[in-house]
Amino acid sequence: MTVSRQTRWLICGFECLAAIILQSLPCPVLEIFGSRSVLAVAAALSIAAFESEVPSIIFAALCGVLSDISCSGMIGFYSVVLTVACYCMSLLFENFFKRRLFTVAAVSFAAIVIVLTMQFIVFHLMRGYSDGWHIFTNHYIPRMFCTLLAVPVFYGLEYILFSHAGAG
Amino acid sequence: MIISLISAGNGYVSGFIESYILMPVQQLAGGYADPPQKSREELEAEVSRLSEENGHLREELTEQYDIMAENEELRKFFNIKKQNSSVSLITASVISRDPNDDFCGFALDKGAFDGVELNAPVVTEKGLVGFVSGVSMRSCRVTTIFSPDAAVGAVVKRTGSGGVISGSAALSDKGRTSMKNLPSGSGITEGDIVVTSGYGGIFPKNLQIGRISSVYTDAFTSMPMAEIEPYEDIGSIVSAAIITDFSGKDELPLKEK
Repeated sequence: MTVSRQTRWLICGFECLAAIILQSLPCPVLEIFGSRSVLAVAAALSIAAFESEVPSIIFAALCGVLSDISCSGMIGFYSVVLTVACYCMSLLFENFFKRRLFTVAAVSFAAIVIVLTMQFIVFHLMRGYSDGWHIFTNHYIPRMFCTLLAVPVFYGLEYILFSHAGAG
Repeated sequence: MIISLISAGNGYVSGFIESYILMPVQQLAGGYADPPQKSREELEAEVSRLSEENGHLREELTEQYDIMAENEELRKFFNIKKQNSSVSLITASVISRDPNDDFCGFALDKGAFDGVELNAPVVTEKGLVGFVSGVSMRSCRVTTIFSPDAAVGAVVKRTGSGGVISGSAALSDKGRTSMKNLPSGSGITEGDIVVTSGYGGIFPKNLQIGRISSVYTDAFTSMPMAEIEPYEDIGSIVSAAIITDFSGKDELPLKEK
C-alpha cells in the first residue's frame, strides 16, 4: 500500500497535534524523576530526519507555535529554535547521514540538548532565578533523556510512512 | 356433624373447581374475547414516541449527573465561603500541565468568558495553590506558589508576623515553598499556620496556605525564613476554584499617619 506525499504530510500534522496533546496531559505519558518528555520536539525532529527542508520547517513551526501557545501563550522561543534545529536536521540527513534509528537518535539527542539548554538559558538564567544548577541537573537533564526516549516511537512511525511512500 | 362435614367438603370442592378449572378457562377466554385495541401503525407511533421520550429522559439524567458533580465540587469549597462570605468563586478542572514548567503550573478549563481575570487567586478546599498568570477565552494558566514568580502576602497566624510567599526550584521538588521578608525576632516555630494577609487586595484575607515545616536563616541577608508545607498536594490536583471577587479586592492598605 503506497502512501501519497499529501497523505503522509496529513498524518505528520496529526502526529504533531497528538504530541502536543499527549505532552500536556495532566497525567504524564512519559516521565523520569518528575520531568516530562517534550514530545513535540521529538516529533518535529523525527519528521525533519525524513523530510526535505521546506516540509521540515513547516512542521517544526507548527510544533513550535503550538508549544509556545501551551507554554506561555506567546509565540516565540520554540517557534524559532525548533524551526532552525529541524532545518539543520533535515539538511544533515538529506546530504550526509543515512536514516537509521541510531543515527537519527544520536543527532536528535544533540538537537534536544541544544534546544533545551537554550530554553534553560532564556527562561531561567536570564530571568534571574536562583537554583540554576539544581534546575538544570534535576529537571532539564532528565527532560532531555525523557524526550530522547520518545524519538524511536516517532522514528518508527516516520519510517513506516516513508517506506510506503508513493510517487506523489 | 355430618352436615358440617358435607359443607366443608362442598367448600373445598367448589374452591378447587373455581381455582383450577374455571379461572384458567376464563382467563383464556378473556384473552381472545378482547379484540386488539391498537393498529400496527398506532403501535409503531407509540414505540417512536416512547423512544423519543426515553432519549429526553437520558439527556435529563445526564444533566442531573453533571449537576450532582458540580454540587459535590462546590460543597468542597463551602468552608472557604463560610470563612469569607464575600468570596465569589467558580470551579474548574485541570486540563493540562506544561512539561516545561518546573513549578507544577497547570491550565484550567475556565477563561475570560467565564469571568476569570489575571492574577485571580486559585484555591482548593485545602487552601491557596496559586494565581492566574495567563487568561484566554476558555482557559487560563495558573502559576503555583512554588514558583519564584509568586509573591503572596502572608502572615503567621499565631504571631501575626508578616512575610511573602515565594518559591524556588529546590523547595518545589520537595513540595515546599518559602516565606521571606520575615521580621527578625518574629518568634515563629515549626507547625505554625500560615494564611494570606489580604494586603494589596490581590488575595482574600485568611486563606489557608500551609504550615511551617522548618525555620532557617537566609545565608545572604541573615534574616529569618520559613519553609512552608502547603496543605494541598499541588502536583496532583485535578480540580480547583478561581476566586473572581471578594471583599477588599484591589484595595490598597491605607497609609498610617
